[in-house]
Amino acid sequence: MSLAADQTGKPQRGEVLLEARDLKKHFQVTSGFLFSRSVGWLKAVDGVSFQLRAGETLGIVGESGCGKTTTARMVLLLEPPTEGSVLFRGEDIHKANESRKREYRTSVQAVFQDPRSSLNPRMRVRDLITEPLVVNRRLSESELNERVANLLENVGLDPDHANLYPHEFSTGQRQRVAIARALSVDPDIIVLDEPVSALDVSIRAQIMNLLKDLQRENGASYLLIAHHLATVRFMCDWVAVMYLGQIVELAEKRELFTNPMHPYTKALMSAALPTRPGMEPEELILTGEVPSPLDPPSGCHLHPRCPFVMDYCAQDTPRFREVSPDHWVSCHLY
Amino acid sequence: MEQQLVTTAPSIGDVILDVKDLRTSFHTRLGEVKAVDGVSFDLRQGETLGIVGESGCGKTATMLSLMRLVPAPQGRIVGGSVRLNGQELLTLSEEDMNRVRGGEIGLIMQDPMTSLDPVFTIGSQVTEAIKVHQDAPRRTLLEKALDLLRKVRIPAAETRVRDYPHHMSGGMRQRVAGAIGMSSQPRVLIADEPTTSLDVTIQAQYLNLLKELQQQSGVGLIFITHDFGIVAKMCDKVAVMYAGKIVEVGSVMDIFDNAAHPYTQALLASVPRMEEDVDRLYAIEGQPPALHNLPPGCPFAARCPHTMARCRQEYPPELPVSQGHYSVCWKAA
Repeated sequence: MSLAADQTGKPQRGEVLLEARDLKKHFQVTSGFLFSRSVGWLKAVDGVSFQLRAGETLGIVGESGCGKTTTARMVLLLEPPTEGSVLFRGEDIHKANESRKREYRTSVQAVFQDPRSSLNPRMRVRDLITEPLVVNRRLSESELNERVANLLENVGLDPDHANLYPHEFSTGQRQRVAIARALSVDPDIIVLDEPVSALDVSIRAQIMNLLKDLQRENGASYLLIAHHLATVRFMCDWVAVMYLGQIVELAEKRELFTNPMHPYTKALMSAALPTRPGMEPEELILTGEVPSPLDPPSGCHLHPRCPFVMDYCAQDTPRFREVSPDHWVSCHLY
Repeated sequence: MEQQLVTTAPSIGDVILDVKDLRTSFHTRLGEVKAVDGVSFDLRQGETLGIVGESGCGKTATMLSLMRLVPAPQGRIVGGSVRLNGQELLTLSEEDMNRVRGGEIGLIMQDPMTSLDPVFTIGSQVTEAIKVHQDAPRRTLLEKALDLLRKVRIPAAETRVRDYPHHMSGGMRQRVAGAIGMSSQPRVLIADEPTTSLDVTIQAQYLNLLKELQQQSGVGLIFITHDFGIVAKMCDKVAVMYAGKIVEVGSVMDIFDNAAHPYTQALLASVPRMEEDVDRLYAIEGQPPALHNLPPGCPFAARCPHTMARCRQEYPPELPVSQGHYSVCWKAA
């Protein structure tokens, strides 16, 4: 049993389960082989703060290289932060002792983009699903079998599939196996890293519906990493927009989509493909490309590409502040 | 509707590409797979056609058949006709066909990292593409290459020609692939999922660039995609494919406002939207069928909410819905 469940029971909906406080991850970049020297620091994540409440879904959107996956890796204890902390129910989990970390790893599970690479091809589905259970709990053989059958049914697979190998499934079914595996230990949080982007259109809808149904049933919180805005709108309660290692805007889903404030959020939305022909959104297309995170622009990181740039944007770094209730933006315009 | 057509392509002209009953088969361990099974469509000058479908529906096999690039011996074009400006391509000699590929028909592939050669500079790859179709002194070729790179908005093209593909970002590489695709001033440009590997903001820049190039040159564009967003943004006409066959053809407005085939309707309904909150998405049950073992009748029947007894016995004919819009479904009968 996870410790959280033992001591305080299942988290109440709305309780802050997970909190990132000023989280930073800087990678040293070196050049040369024998006498390598440091050529700089890549600030993959540079001061990210957010809260994830029980039973809710927080989406982190951004383009490649914005630091969303590195953030997820720090939440999953796969990467130690350079600075800042990840608090799980108030406890700094990166500073916790090994047994606490093991319990945390039970409470927080992950589903990745490509189930072909995240599922061991040499293991049968039954073993894949029970692996986290066997590591974390003591159950008898018959209890395990029953659990596997239940889990497979919950994710819409046939219990008879338990003896098959991952390659015997389609991509969509494999993603269902990955979800069953994550659910096996009854986690409080599931990190979903681009869970549907490798799937076909008709299968995406099945998996997104499944994830939402499962959340309604078991109340797990999701941290969703995605680049596709419509997916985020469908799946999330809260949305954080990242650019070059920082969260530039964070708000409740409906508020963010109806009243986007940060120029980068607006640009992302106007660059998104239209839902129907003839529905070209107001053109706010950023010029150029995302600058290298090795040498990010001074002041506000967006200023060289921003259409609303002002004199002091290049010097002053905007503060991330709450401009209206539950709507946080870091931009000098507000 | 008229207005939409005018804004996306100012001058839609004569038919330049006419495909009739195209059939391509692959021999696999499991038996014969009819990857392209009687596909017909046409493309006019300055028009953009979208071929939409899920993986394995035959959209890429259709593209390979048009270019006669189906891998032999396992794959073979078994029938039909492809006419480019009235000339039959399927019976051309290999030598003549080589002039068509990258000549009158240009191609942009999905992943520029694999379609560009990592050991040659950008400049030499673009000049090579020009040289294949016109002989000119080196200096002229280089000038033309620079022109092309400027046209696809590569900043500081004069210095970038000496770069290798790995020096460039994904968006820049795809622009170079676009420059190569346009290098011979083709009549038809086929783009096979050209923006799937690009980020959202870069994708928007690239699609706008393709539209501009089309307006300048009047090239006919074929977009192979699974994304209805790209169709909505780029296409005039849409062909929806399922299990090797085209199941519905119509103008982009017909498809979005008045889709007749249950598969098209289901695909459109299963996409989440950015401008509204929905609680559940419509999900098509089941999986696409295995192509080596297709059931008789309509291959979508097993997943279709409107299946009738007839659907499982007889393959439906093309049934007209309106001018230029047809659906291959018994429901339309």
